[in-house]
Amino acid sequence: MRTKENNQIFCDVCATLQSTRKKCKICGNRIYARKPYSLLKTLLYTLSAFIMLIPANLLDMMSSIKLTVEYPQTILGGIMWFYEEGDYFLAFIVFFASIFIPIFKILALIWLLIMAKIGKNRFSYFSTKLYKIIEFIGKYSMLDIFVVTIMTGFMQFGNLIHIEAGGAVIPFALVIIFTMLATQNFDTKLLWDEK
Amino acid sequence: MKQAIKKKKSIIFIYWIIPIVAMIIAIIMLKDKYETKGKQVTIILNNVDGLNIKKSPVMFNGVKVGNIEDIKIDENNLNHFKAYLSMYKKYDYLVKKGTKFWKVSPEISLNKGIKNLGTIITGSYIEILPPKLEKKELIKLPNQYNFIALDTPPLNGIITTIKTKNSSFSIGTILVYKGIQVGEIIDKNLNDDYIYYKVLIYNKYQNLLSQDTKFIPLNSLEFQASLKDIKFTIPSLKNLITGAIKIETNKIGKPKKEYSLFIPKKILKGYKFTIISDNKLPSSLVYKGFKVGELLTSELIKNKIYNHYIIYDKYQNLINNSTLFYKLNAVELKASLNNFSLQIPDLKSAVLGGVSFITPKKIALNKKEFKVFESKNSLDEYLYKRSGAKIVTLLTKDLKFIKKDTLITYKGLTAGKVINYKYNPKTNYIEVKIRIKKPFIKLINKTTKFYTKSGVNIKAGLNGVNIQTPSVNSLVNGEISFITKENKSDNTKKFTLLNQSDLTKNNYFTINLIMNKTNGVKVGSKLKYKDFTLGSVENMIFDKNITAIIKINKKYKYLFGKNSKLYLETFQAGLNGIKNTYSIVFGSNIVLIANKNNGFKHNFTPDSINPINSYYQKGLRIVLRANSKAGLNVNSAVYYRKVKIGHIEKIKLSNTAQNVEIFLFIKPKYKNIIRTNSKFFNTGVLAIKANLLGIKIKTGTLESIIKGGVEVITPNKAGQKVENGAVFKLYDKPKEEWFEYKPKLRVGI
Repeated sequence: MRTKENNQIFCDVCATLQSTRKKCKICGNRIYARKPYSLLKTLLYTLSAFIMLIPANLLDMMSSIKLTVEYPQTILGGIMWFYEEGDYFLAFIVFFASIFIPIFKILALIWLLIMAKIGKNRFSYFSTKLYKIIEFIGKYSMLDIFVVTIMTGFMQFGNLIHIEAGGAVIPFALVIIFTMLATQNFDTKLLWDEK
Repeated sequence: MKQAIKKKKSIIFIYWIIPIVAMIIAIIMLKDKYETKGKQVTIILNNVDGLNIKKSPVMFNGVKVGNIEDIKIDENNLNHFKAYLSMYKKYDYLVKKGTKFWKVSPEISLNKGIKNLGTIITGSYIEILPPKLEKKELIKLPNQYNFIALDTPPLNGIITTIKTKNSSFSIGTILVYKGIQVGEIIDKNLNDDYIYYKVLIYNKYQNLLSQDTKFIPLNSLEFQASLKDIKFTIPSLKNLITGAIKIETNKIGKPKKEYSLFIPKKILKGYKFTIISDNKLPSSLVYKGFKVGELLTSELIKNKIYNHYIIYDKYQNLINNSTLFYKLNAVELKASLNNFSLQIPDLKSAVLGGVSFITPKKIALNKKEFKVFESKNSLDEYLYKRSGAKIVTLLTKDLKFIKKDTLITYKGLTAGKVINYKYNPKTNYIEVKIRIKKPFIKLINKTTKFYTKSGVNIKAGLNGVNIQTPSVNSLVNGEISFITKENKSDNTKKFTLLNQSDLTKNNYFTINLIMNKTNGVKVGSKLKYKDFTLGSVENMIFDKNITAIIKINKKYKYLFGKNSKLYLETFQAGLNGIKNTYSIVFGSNIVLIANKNNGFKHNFTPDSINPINSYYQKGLRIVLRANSKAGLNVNSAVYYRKVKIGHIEKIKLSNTAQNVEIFLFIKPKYKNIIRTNSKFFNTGVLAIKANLLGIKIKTGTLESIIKGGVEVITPNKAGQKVENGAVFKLYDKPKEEWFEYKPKLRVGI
């Protein structure tokens, strides 16, 4: 809803047109034409996610301890392990959720930031679609964390074999959280603003 | 408006903190990671069996201190491998100049037993040993990044050198201190007419090396004597023969770099005398295995050798004018198929021989010259002739256990001994010469029958040994006995030697067990029926097949009906446990499955080897059809609600080979559980499957994981009872709803 010209703003909550810039007269919701500092926030969250991606991939996701000897595995190592065990489907899923999606999301966010800075152009339609996609897949990216928690929960056979979560769990979770926050703070209307 | 914007701007700076904090956290975490990744080291190995790239650890005393990053073939020598190790940062100091690397893998050897059993499961690993055992000192040492791995674990101790001119020891000779092994010879070399021995003293005995440490050679005899004085486990038979080196020390002063072998000088006191012989005599004078004297010199006078001996002071009273000397030969070893005996006078004389003696009378000692008999035999014969015993000859085709000195008994009393035996090619008989003591001579006449009592006629099992023979001596050596009808002596000189069984032949019958290999059956193997011994293998005939002739008491003949079967209990070891251990020592048992009807069966072939204990038990026997054997084994259990109700008796391919037939035995009291609609499934495997749909862990009992097992479930609407031979399908996996079944079924007591 483009309402900048006539100084009217659409309230997200009660779906009425408002002329004020502070609060909705009807429902009291804080209203604004564009999310405040949207680009800056998105940029900072994306940057944080990118920083966290490095330890998430270099540290160990989980370690299996077989007969008291520890065998740590990074995310990629875990995928290789599933692949070697013949769990091709699982290997694919984990690769998709844990390596492909986070990198894809960060790249997509950078693209969106550039496009929003430029304003309305011939990619605006595509960019809006892209935003919809990364917003949708955001909630499925925690898969690897689930795999680790479930594995550590089940595989507890004392000295025979048990699995412990590794140091990569926290940065990986942060990558996902940061990308989700970045997506949330991005205002798609900026893609269509003419400059 | 302006104010509001200003306020928001100040808030927005908080957002800048997020990436900064993220950066700090990331740096801290990565620093941690790369601090744990320490020194990168390359080692060259001769073999890399069992090592896994990225998985095999580097260990130090059981603590993981690093990882194998990569393994490559060494380009400079294709027989070698280069392993790239990555140490943990905090253990970097362990890898310094002089650190030793070696591979630890499972090892089975005769002298050391089984080692590193755990590595069968974990895989091999690299063990390291730093040159110093204190971190402070280690840090000072220079770094080194390329190593050559040792083939064997390093020796744990300090190395010193012993110099000698003529004593010779082999590598591996042990060093003892107060009877305890404290080291060993690890190397020797010759230099400038001296032999240099590299000696390893084990770490905890390091303090034995000092200024005044003496290394004294112990020959085998002395070494043995020291074994008797001090409780001591014999390191190896080799050491008993090669001797050892004794250490004496007062622990004063610093260790020397090199020691000389200390050879104590002997001052001999004793009675000197001369033995005249045709050949030079051995150097030691032995009495009952003890060295009591030695050869001083020998000289050749008029084609005779004059051997000058000395008998040590304290043993002087052992000899006198009546003493008869004889040569003690090297190892007297006589072996026959059934019996094996080893007579070793003592180990040194076993190798070198010696001179021994007997002193029949107590008279004065003043004689200086003695004669010597060539052997104990010739001395014995001389003595028998002097004592007036009667010598007769026994004829036999098979010497069996008979050897010199085998006892001749009469009603349990010793009546004489075997003197010697020889084979007569003309008659094809072995002639055994025996002597009969004076009081028994009157029993020897033409009615006398000599027979052998076998020494191996013992009942032995793991539960104990039951000896049937009267004396231990005859148990070990066997004996010849005789019976006689008349009580007078005549001139009969030759007798045929009979078997004890020949005397009682009519009480027994025989059956034949025909096999294509022995399967561990040997003469003496027992025939058992319900753990009761019916008879034993009397003889084995080897032609196309192997026929074991089993002798059985006549009263058991009714057990051997036409449908009776024999099977063998042979030794088995495996994951399923160890079975029939006794058969290693006593040979396989032959077990009878009796069938009392239908006449008598004379020739048997062994039935399937090692059937299960339940073979002659009553119970329900049913068949499962399965696609594959799938981890199941004979003896795998059958469970109902995890209670063992039976086991697998037999597994075989079906006649059309389309599937596998598994024969189950269900204990009679659980017979009622099996119904026409019962479901069977394989419960053996430990399956841990993780996938996105959920995680399933399937475990049976520990026994079933190892042995495999079958679980049975009967639905709530239980079907009809089943008869022997009923056929069921074996499912690979149970269906969920099966676990809900809880039918009421009566279980027998």
